[in-house]
Amino acid sequence: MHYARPLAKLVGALERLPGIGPKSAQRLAFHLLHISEDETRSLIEAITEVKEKITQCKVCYNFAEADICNICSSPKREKDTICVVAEPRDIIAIEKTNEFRGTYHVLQGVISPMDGIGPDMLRIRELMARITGGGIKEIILATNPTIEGDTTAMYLAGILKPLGVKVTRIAHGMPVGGDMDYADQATLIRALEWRREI
Amino acid sequence: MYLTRLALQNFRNFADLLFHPEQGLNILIGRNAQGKTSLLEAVYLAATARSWRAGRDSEMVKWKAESAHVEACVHREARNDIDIDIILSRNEKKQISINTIRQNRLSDVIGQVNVVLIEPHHEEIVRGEPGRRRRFLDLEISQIQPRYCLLLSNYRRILDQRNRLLREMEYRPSGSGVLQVLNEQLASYGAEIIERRLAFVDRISSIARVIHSQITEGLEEMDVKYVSKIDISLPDIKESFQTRLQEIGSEEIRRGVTLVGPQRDDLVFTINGHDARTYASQGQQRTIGLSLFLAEFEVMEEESKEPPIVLLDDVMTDLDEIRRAHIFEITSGRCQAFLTAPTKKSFDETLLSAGKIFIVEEGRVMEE
Ligand SMILES: Nc1ncnc2c1ncn2[C@@H]1O[C@H](COP(=O)(O)OP(=O)(O)OP(=O)(O)O)[C@@H](O)[C@H]1O
Ligand SMILES: [Mg+2]
Ligand SMILES: [Zn+2]
Repeated sequence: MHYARPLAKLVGALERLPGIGPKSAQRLAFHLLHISEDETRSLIEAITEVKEKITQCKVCYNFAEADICNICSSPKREKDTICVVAEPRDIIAIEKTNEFRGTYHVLQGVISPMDGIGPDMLRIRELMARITGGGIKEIILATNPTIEGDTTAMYLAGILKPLGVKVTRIAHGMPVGGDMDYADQATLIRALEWRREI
Repeated sequence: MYLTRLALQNFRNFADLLFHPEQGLNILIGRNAQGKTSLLEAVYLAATARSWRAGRDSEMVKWKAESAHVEACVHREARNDIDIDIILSRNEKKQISINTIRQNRLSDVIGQVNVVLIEPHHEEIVRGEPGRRRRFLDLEISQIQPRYCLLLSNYRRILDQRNRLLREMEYRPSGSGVLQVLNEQLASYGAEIIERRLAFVDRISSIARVIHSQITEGLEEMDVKYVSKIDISLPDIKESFQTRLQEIGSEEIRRGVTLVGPQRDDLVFTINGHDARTYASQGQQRTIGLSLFLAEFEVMEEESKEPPIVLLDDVMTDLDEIRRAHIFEITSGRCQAFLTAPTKKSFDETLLSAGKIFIVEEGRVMEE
């Protein structure tokens, strides 16, 4: 299909976004073409603002509006427990539960030789510095239950345990209240593997 | 279990087919290139999510068509009935639905319907490449153990990661630490794959040996052994896997590839103690192959508590009396079977009268 040049440029830019295929890119582009000038401006402003104002927390490497994020600077959070995640979006998922009172550490990826990502490219040195800085009792490894998530968790366990902290890995398995029938085999099998005595 | 309905659109030379097979024996007669093997292929695809003969899924899409559609309804005694729906496209990944629900994992598809295929060149299992025998093991075990399928895909992923790391070790500052972890992961998944293969080989060989001895009237004794570069005689295979990885670590780094593990293992067949790949005649190799596939039927029936669907492509023609009798024993009344042949002359009267005859002609199937 041939678009007018500016439209082709927009479709191309949208297509490069994660999770957007050619069809969605086209649909979004046509939608953007039809929105009002006000809407256009506020979208552009939102993007610009995000780029200007969002930085990384110097402690946990989550997104932040200041040098230190809300979680790290909050007196209500327990600073002796660090939950280690791969990406900022994992924090959002855990925060939604409103149950976790500790702090986080964002690795900014997982170990994956095929993607050229080694431990030295993740925020592991910074995590170790937090631990050797003192006052840390437990490290919870909350990377995803994928091969790379496991590799990363096992690697971290190997280098963190000698620092004298308790290292745990979150369990993965059946969604609670979920229907056995709808859980896929992988989830069920994982749930069986991580079973514990009651 | 048996197929009650098979609908094909733009699959191989079938533009549009609706086929209601018999619960028992289906005899498919047709001249060359009419679609007999393709029909078996569609059934096989529904059960295993792949073809045994197509290199790529798109080969099964009818020439000039954009996509192929295979729908199979299967009655199962030990589980619920099931509808499997597969769309093969030229450029996209295949889409598989079970009872209209989209499936994203192969392990949720394989094993729902069990098939045993006997091809004309069944001696290939003995004299073909090691990869041919590993594929046999992997597919047959996956069909009876969904967990095995998952183990395999996880293992392959770890293997890919590990091979990549081995190739790039010298540029990776913390490479050896990561390699230690990957060794642990590789050994843990790999050992479980090997353990399951050993158990399967044990079972299938004990049955195959009996069948083989009957076919050869006690004159020959066959055996199957699983061979590995890892010491599998030790009780803890994971440990001996890891030991082996330590031993060959520097060679693996030098060559940039993983040198041991289930991806390198093989099956060795023997007749009266002699390696059948090297010493057996083609006829002897065929007998081993046939015994193995007949044994596979028994194992599957035991595992899934009901007989699998049997696909026999062009095999009757050059089999002798005893071998035909063995096939007849399974295909007449014990399960649903699909037999193909160019003419009715390939079959005995008893077999013909035990089944229903269909004529396959230019991508159509008609009752005789
Ligand atoms: N993708 C495709 N599209 C259309 N036709 C195809 C396709 N692939 C194969 N064919 C044709 O389908 C026909 C049937 O092939 P098939 O292998 O099923 O024949 P057959 O009946 O088993 O023959 P034989 O007795 O020789 O084994 C052949 O003419 C083959 O060339
Ligand atoms: Mg054929
Ligand atoms: Zn922070």
